[in-house]
Amino acid sequence: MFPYEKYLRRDRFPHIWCTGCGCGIVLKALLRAIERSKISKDDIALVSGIGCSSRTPGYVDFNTLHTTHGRAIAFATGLKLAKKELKVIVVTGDGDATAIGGNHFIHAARRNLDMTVLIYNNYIYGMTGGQASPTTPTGKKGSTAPYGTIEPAFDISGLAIAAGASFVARSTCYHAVQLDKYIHKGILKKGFSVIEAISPCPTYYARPNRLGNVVDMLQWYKENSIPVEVARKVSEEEKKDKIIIGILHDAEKPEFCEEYQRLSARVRKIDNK
Amino acid sequence: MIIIYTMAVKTRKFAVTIDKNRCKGCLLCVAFCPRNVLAMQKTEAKVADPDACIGCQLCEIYCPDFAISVSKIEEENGK
Amino acid sequence: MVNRENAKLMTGNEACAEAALVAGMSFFAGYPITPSSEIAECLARRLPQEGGTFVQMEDELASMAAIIGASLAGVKSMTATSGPGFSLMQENIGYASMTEVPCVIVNVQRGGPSTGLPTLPSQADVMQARWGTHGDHPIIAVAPSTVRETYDWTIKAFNFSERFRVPVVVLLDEIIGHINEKIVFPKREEIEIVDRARTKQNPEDYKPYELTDSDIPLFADFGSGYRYHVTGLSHDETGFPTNDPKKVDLLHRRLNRKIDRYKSEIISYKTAFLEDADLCIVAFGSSARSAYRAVSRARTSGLKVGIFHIFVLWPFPYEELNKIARRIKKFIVPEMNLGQVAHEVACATKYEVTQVNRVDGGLITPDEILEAIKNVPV
Repeated sequence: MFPYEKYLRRDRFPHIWCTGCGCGIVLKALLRAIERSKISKDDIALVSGIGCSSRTPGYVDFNTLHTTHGRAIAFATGLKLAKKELKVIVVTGDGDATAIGGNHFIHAARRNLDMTVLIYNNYIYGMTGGQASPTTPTGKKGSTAPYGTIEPAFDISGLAIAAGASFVARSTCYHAVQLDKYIHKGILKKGFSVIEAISPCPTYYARPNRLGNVVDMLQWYKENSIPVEVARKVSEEEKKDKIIIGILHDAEKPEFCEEYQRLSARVRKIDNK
Repeated sequence: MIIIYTMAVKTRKFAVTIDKNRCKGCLLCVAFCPRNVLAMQKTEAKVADPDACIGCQLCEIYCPDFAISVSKIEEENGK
Repeated sequence: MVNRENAKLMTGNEACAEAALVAGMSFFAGYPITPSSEIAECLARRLPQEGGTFVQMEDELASMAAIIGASLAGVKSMTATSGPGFSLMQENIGYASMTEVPCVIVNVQRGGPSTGLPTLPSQADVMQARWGTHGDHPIIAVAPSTVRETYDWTIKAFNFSERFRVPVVVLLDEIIGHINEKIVFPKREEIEIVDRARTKQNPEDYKPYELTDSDIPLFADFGSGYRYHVTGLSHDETGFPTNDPKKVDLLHRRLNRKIDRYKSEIISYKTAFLEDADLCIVAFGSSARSAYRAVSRARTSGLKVGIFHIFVLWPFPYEELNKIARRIKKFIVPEMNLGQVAHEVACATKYEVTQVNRVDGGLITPDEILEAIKNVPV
């Protein structure tokens, strides 16, 4: 029923993502959100870094930019500041955004630059063969954590809120319909909006950690997610290792492009006095 | 090559099509369909019981490969 | 006091910033680093006045990413840094080469390697300007030696970048960046400004890297109705990734051919006193200033010495130097590094080259060059 095809670069299909990979589900949520926002394809720039999720722009019919690992947000900053009318959406992965790209992620959030950042968080580096990432849960295995990672994982949404993002939401591929609502809100939001999508990686996360197939993973998301409204009322114990979903932060803050335009106007007024 | 299972049965309201080129047999559509319309045929999904489809589109939402789509069959007299 | 000559006392850094504005630059992203911060400071003040955009990014490689993003939106963009930042920018400079996005990178060289001598000059980033990023890639590097030349060569850097769709490096050093000199501005109408060639095809048929007989694809601004794909992966004329050996070979040879093919229109140098010389000094950047003085003093004491002053370091003037080597057998290369250009001159001329090197943070003096002139084995 949903007109996905009109957004796709059909000759690029079938896509490269593995059987049961969540990237396709997240991409569909993104397309439903874009459809609802009624923004013309000409005015959308989809920018990505390197990794499985960063192959998304190649498959969709927008102004698409596949940049270097971790740097999508920095490229997108230049694109947005040079052409404010563009609706700039960044698609990135947990490693791309918070490992090598962490510095750009927190600074763009601090600036509250108008941009929607959709993070496919599959807890692992998929493209390079299943290495542990900053969001691999402690104890879980990756090809570079064969005995289970001893590192604590990032709370990406918490990081975004602390850095200054004005809209932060999280959902999972099981809660795909809420996901498209949060992406839609993020797109409409004037400011730095972050949507974290917990996404299954059957090949490199589920298999080494014996988590079953993609249906089992989505089932696990269903049973281990708590809406943020509930989470605010239950004890820490009940929330432990659970995925908190929903709109986690939504604030009104000055937006960088507008502040810059006001500065220019102020400077040019002084100038021609 | 798109296989369209739309046998001309009066009561059917929805047509489910699966693009064999795109389907990777991940089981998600089969798992999420509330009416067992879909089933696995070796490594690919296929429409087993087209009449049972209630048009809920869960298969479409959860298919990662853009391989399945549900469309409404217009009434004979175009109502 | 009427400024009839339209002149001003100005530093190299400031001249570089003003020249960029004249060239049409309207987006600057940078990060503080001695000795280039003045370029950012000047543009932070000037760009809002000119309706352009200035942003201080979180680091140099983010700055390099931002200017590529801006250029894809259709504006002329620039960043400025010094050695350490230039090293951080290399991966994205390679991205600009691969995706053929015009942009200018100013490197005000300081003592290296590493933190080195932040407030003192060097010319030791010459090879990095050419080979800093990985893989065979097209790039141009220019090296002015005065404040006025910085002004001219910054504008030319933008013109090269726009015409050939390549990143262009402007190599200054701490001396040129910080020296105050009188600069007489050329008349605006005399200055040639080049803009990238844009496509006239209708969007459905547009291929971002379609083969043209000029080897330079036609540009389309992001958000102007041309929806296309840009990636750092090896790609074909449609812009989509490919591993097809034929297409990959085609791309990589075309990218590098863009410079080799137009070398004669890029290479630039100035010669003096070479007609009857039996010894040639090859110099660039601030060392050239001392070289001119050394040559004139050598001439007054009867020594037949000339100078070959290089403005465009990459592509390097191998053939031009080789032609000169048919007559002149002795070459001296003064440079504030351990022989990076001397090596290229030796390749070009096939002769032993006398090196005059300083790597102590000091500018090579005319006396040191004169000393070398006198001691060159006959």
